[in-house]
Amino acid sequence: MSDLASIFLRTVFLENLALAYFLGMCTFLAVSKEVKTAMGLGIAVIVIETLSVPLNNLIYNSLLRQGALAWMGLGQMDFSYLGLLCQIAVIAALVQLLEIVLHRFFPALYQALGIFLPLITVNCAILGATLFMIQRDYDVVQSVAYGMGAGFGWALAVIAMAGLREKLRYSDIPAGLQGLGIAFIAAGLLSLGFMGIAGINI
Amino acid sequence: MARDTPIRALVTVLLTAVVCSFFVSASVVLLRPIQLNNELLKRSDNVLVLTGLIPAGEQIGDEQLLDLFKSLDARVIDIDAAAPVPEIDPWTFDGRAAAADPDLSVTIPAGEDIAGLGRRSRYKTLYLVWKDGELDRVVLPIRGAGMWSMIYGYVAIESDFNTIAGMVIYEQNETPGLGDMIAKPYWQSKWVGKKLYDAQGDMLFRVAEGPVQAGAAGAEYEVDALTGATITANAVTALMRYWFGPGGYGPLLEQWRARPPQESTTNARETT
Amino acid sequence: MASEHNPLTTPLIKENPLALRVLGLCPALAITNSLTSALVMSAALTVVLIISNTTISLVRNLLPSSVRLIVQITVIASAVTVIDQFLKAFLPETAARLSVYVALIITNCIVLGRAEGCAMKENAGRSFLDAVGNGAGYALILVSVAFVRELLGKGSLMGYQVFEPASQGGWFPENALVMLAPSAFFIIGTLVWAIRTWKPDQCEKPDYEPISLPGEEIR
Repeated sequence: MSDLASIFLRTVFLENLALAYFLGMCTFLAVSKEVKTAMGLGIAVIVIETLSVPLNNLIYNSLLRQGALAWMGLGQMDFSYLGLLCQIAVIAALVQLLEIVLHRFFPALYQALGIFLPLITVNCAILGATLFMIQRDYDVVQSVAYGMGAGFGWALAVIAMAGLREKLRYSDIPAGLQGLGIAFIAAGLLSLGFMGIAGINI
Repeated sequence: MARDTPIRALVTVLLTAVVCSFFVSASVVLLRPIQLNNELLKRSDNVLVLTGLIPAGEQIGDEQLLDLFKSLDARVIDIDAAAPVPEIDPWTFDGRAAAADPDLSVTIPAGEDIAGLGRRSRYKTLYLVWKDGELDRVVLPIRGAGMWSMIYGYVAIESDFNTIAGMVIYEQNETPGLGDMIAKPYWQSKWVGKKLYDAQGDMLFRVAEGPVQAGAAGAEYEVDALTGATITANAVTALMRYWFGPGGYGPLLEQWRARPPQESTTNARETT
Repeated sequence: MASEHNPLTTPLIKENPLALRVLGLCPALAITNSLTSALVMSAALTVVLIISNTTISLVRNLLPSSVRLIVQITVIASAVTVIDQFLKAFLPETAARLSVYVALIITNCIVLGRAEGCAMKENAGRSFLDAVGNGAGYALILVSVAFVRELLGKGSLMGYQVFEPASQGGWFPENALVMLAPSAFFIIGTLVWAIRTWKPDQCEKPDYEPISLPGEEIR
């Protein structure tokens, strides 16, 4: 149990997908203008991550990796190269499902998220979390912890960034730095701050 | 845009699937032999650099590298039994994959797992280097959890089974500019001549907290610190202490000190 | 339409995919601590862009709209898998350093963005040029950032030591901050500032203008 808590906490703070690995940056910078939108997107990302990472883990370990098909008598087959195609398909399907559910049961959130919902499919953070999970060879339960941590971490980063940018709106910034430029620099400082936590053994 | 009927959609999707799978599978099948060869070359390079068989500064071609590698005396040993396992072919055994295989590995009890490994393969491939019938050195694989991810390397031990002849870290993801010094030959060269155990057999080797003053007490067991990379340095100390302690090669090296291994020509692979 | 939008040169500065449209950032920040990695990543992205743009442009009139996105993603994912295999076979060291970021080209907004924005509308020739242009624009930013980061951080370029680092007895103090990832944010921020000072029409309007009080001038 402490192993799972450790994975979760590590992923949220020490190995933050947005601020330590720089995944999901495009959406990160585009959505972080307002805290409310950021929160909505953050929740959607948490849901997709928690579902997609364990699902991809199951598919990879029971169908694709070397020796996975031993139960079918095809132990030498190694289909891991099909991994990327399967994983992106799973993610696209999950996002489509989420869209349908939101549209039916939470129409206000659906409207607020607008175009950003389908854009979650191409959010590097989602695919990235799956790829890291495979690299580190987690089992299914660990994948759930990791997926949740990845989602929470990314949401935390995007909401923090939105808070910063809302304050920056009133600042007198040189014309060339307005908007995108200052967002980058602020993100760099935020990332530097998170690096200060690195190395803590949880 | 084409007319949107279910039939057309289905046909398009199927066609895309077939064409894409063809290209992907073709590239994988055609390129796999090259990739496997690359892995073998990399492993050869990592091990050979520690054997002292390549004259310093000389560049040798891939063919020669592979031949030299295959001429080494490779043995798979059972760590817990501290004995060689002749049944396992050292040239095809994958120690890294074995650590994840429940049949070929053991879980390390939490109190003993100072290197953060979780599981440890029961068997490891060692490389013995013979010079004129005498054992010159042994190359042993090591690994341990670093600050960011697993660190992998090899350590070469001289024939007294205590002095370090060299070491190499070939895979790590430590902080660039700080922790990744462990992969630099400059730092690795400081390990040459350092000792692992003292006269009583206690494991004393460690990465120091500062620069090591030559001649100070205990200096022969210490290596210079890494500036600003305490966690990585501690990780290296921990992994050395695990692998050369009672849970790793410790018992084997103790045994060999009492009764050194014999050269056995049947273990070197035929180079044909 | 064909007026001043030259598909080859426009994406270099005028409509740089990274600096203006903010696409494809993720690898730009993570792998730019080494010039070799940046070059290989740019090359990989350009090749994927070319394959994806040209293929999708060739079949754009045959794709039913309901499966458009799925087909695009499948083509892109397949192209990336093939490129990944090639890199692992012929440039294994760099491939290991790029690790997951090559696979993440699938989700790179530039590729999908250009597929939707250009390949679905233009013919194969223009799509091809557009791919090359966007790849070049991307490479421009990536290589600039990597050049600065590797030179100031390690004192080397493409692994070849230009300044002798102090840790090996030289004069150059290695800069660990530049080697760390947040510096990429700062460098790109500065690059964006430079580009927008040169081309002021790219600047964003501020959300609020300070109100001038009667009788006082704004500082």
